[in-house]
Amino acid sequence: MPNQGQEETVALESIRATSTVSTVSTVTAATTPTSTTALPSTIPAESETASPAPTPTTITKPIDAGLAAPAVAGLGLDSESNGEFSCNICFDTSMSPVLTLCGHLFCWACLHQWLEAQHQNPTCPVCKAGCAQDKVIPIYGRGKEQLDPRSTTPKRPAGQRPEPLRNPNQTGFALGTGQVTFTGTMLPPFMFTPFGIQYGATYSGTIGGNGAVQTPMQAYVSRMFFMLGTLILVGILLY
Amino acid sequence: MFARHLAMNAPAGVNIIDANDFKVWKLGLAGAPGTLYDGEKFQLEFNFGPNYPLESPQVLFVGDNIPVHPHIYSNGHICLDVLYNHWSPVQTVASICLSLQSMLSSCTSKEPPPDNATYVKTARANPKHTAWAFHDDTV
Repeated sequence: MPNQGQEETVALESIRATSTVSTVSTVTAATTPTSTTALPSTIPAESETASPAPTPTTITKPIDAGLAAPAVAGLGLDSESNGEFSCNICFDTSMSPVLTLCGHLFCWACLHQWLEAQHQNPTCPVCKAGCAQDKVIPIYGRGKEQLDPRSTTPKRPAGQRPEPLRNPNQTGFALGTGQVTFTGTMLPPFMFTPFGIQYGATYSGTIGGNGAVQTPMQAYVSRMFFMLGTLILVGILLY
Repeated sequence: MFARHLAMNAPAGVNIIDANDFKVWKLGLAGAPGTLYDGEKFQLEFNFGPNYPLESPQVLFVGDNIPVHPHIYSNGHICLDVLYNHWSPVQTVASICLSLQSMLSSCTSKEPPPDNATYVKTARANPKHTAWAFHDDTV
């Protein structure tokens, strides 16, 4: 839900004066539940798999993982951050950042050039995982995307927006607190309340909560109980 | 500037001889202690094309001391997949040096490639024009 994320961060704009890449991402992470899965996960993935390619010669991971980071810090291009958000190809802070499904961060222009050059079998430059152009995930931070009118690179692929499990505008869930409060007794429409908590937690805004993502199993059980409840309701009404 | 970065991140045994422009760099590579190349000094030349880093740089050994190694020809050409068709733009000069250092260090017998004489006679100056076959995963 990139759009929602942007709106929320804009609201916080007045609170924070600085605009370093790292603060942007932490705030986006804190405010948008959906983007939390994307952004912080790049960090461990980065440090784990930053060694280029399975090659006959051994390139040891710890040394190589450090290469890109001090590259930028040492150049003074991005001295505040340690290169966590720098493009793996140009080493600069990513412009129009995109993420591969394997979690590697690039400028869209850099990655696009590379994928075009090997369009037969596009692979991630870092880990050589398959990387089709339309599978790339754009990263929408707080800052505005700066488009160079001279650039011939096409626009980034748009973010994918899966249907929410429930309509977020539906009433009955308390937002922001992380707790779902139902007043009153079990009214018929809320027969499945114990499992409704799962939905409530999705909008809580807390990170690391164990109920943030509903597993298919939970969804299935929830649906089961809903059907059971409906059945009982119909039973009560008919007899 | 980029050379300063390399200087800070270079693997052991690598030093910069000349890196004042963006086209050609000369680096010194010292054989790692405890290996067959212990105490030897080599010179590497990197030629960066206009498409670097999307295309690999041309890397070869130069100078009067070319390492005697089953994958290094006596004209300085190096048979190493990451320099040719397994190149990836995330690689850096430092990571190439590390690959080469590793290739030298894992060598068990100092001998030239079996086809050295014929290759050196027919090869073009740019090793990227050679059709390489990568077959040996051990060295």
